[in-house]
Amino acid sequence: MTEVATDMTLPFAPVEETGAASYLDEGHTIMSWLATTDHKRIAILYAVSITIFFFIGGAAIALVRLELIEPHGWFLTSDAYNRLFTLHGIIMVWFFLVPSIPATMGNFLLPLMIGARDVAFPRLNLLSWYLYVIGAAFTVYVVIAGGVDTGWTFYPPLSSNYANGQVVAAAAGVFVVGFSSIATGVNFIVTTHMLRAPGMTWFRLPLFCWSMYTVSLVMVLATPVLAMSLLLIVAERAFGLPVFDAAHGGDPVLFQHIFWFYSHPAVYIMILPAMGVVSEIFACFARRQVFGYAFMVYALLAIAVIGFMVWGHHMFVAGQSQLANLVFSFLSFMVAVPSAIKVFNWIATMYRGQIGFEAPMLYALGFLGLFTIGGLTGLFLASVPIDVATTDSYFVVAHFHTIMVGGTVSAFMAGIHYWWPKVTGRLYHEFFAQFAAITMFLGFNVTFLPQFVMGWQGMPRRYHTYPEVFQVWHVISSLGAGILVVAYTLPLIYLGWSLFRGERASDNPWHATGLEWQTPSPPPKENFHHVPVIDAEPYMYHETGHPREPGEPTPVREQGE
Amino acid sequence: MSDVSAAVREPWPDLTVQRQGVGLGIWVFLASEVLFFGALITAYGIYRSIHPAAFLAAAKHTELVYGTINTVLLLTSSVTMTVALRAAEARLRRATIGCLAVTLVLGVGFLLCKGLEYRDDLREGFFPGAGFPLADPPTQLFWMLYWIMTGIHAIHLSAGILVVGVVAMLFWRRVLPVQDSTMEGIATYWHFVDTVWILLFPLLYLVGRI
Amino acid sequence: MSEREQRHRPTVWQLAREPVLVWAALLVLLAISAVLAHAPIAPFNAAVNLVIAGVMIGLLAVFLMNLRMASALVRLVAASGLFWLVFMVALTFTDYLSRP
Repeated sequence: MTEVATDMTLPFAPVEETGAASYLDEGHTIMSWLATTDHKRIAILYAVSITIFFFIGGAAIALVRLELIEPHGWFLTSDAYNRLFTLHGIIMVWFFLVPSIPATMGNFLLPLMIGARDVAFPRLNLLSWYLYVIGAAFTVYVVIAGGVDTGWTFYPPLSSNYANGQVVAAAAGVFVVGFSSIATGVNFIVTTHMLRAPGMTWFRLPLFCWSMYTVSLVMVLATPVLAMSLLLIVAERAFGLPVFDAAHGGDPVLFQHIFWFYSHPAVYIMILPAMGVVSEIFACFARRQVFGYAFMVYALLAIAVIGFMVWGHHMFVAGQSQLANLVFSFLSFMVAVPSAIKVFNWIATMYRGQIGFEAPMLYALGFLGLFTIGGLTGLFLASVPIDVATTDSYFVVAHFHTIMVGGTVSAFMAGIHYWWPKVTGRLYHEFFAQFAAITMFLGFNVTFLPQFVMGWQGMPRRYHTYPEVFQVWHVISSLGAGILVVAYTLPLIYLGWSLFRGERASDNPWHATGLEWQTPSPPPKENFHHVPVIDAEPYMYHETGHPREPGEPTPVREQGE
Repeated sequence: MSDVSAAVREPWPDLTVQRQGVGLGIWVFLASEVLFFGALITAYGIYRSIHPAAFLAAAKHTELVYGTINTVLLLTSSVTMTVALRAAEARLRRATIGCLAVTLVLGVGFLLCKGLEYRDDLREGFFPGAGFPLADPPTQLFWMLYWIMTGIHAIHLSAGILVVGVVAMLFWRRVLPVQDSTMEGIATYWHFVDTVWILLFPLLYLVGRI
Repeated sequence: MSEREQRHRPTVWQLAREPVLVWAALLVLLAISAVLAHAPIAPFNAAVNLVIAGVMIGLLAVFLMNLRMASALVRLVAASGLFWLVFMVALTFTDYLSRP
């Protein structure tokens, strides 16, 4: 599968043209990168930035996990502990997970997959990266200036009246990076509506494109509400205006309503792209078309919409009325249905397929299992009586990490490996990648399964010290975190190495369908030498999943220009 | 026409599609702005439902005259902006620039009027905190909302004024042709800022006047 | 520009006719709502004024923002923003209105 086969002729790019310069050759200066409007280069700018912040957020939690080996702590003050888990949350949510797949793979691949030359607003795209950088600069300032200890959720009155850290700077950083999200969302929505190549109808779009579209809807509609919630905290803290202050008749729970109105859809911002990535990978590595394509699309849309209606499940014990609890609980059960449909369809996609176990598929399979477990534990939490017992315990922590790390990060890694040859023109070393994937899966489970157990037994979250009865679980969890450190560092090494010494990739090393594979690896600046015309459905793999033969009809034909 | 083809930007195939794209993009952005202000509207709605009497007592003290003048200024500016857009579509360059200039002046007029109003509000102590003239604490919630809602609105208006000024200059210097997709975008944004004010006006100025 | 195009180009005053009519309607509505705010129709003052504001926004959207000529997609986008706002407000109110 990873041989440098050139038997795949490009149907509409004559051989002499494929020697043309790729987007990587268009300028080698720093300015050519910092002032680029090429969506592919912007994707790489994002990839570098989010990787840096992933490791900063990871370092913060590594220190936390190290501290939690001892029930009464051993090298951190409680204040430092609080600041570390807060930093971990803020960075991982806003500076890694939310931009991860959309800003890197979405930016690179959306125009390629729809047959466009770039996104709708290339300069806005560059601006969105600069907004990320400015937000990130605020966060770096927060770290240097001592941190913030409110948790990533910024609840008042702690954040507005009592916290001693850099609340305003942290809120400002998140406010700015939120507009990066909104800009990306606007760009993707207009791109998908208006720049599809001839013949690329909505229901011929790859599911990854649908996932980029739906995630953009969520980003555009949810993020502004986060921005306002943080602005109100800053107004209370910095300008002394009574906003959520009970002494003036204000209500701290109102903040929670406004905050979670964004922050619940935010988790769908994190999972929808992951679902899009694994749909592509299951089809390719089982050599079969995606089962139930239309319902996969409806499921994405349903998750995006219903996901806006469940935020109160974060507030079951906050003082919400019983009626609101009932309504939000019911809607939370409903939102699980489209997710379940997707899980069944992915399994059905693989049924009777010819399954390959390259690294992208290993990561995708890990996603499938862990997302299912994470989702099921979400149903536990959607039930009000169970949530009353488990809220603010490690059960919740394990639940959301299972989906965000076991789910989204696995899918992110799957996508990085799947599209690596396309983006860089190099092949990574398959054995090391498979080893890293399996190590990550094992490390993840060793870290988080004990957290489900101890959460169920009553271990609270965000606590610096704890009763000794929980120590064994904390130690196992911290060991798992150590394994994850290895699993996350390995790709840096072998992927980095492949940039210099990796085999050159052909245009379609995976023999995959999809427009991005019908152009050279790496692509030229304008993506396609000739405007493609699409005349078939996506995922035109063989019916019973045998590998593609060279010369088999492709779903695109050339339109001469 | 050479200046028209220069207006087409990558990756748009032609100017018509580009204009539709810009129009769609601005409306999608406005949907996000609706939710940005919407969070404030939600807070206003919730707090007013919890403290109805305090809101009526507090809102009595907003300056109806300033508010009404400001509403008239903004409504007029929306009309001049519309005429600017239609003039641009008809390729009437000077008329477009002229109408944009009038729009800008009306917008600046709003800000000046608002500034005078803020000065009067502060003079009478209507900023929540020490020295607030009303006794009932929830009245400060109304005034918090007044300052934040009008303040955020004024920031949006200022951004609009800046952009209108820059675009008018670009048209004047012939850097951009008036039939470029830019007019579509700024006109829509301007109308949105006006729409927010039309909603804020009854919420802040017409309460407790009986 | 050809002579024929020159002859068919509208003047500013022709272009301004419809917007000015809308402007007049908006000012009338503004006056009505300012007057009604002082009318002893409690507790309906707020509702009446918000309805008038809604009509004003509608006039602005349809006649000045060209919503009636815009594509179905743009109208859908405009409606979505509004719709999302409605259920943020509505679902938040289900909590507050049902508290004891």
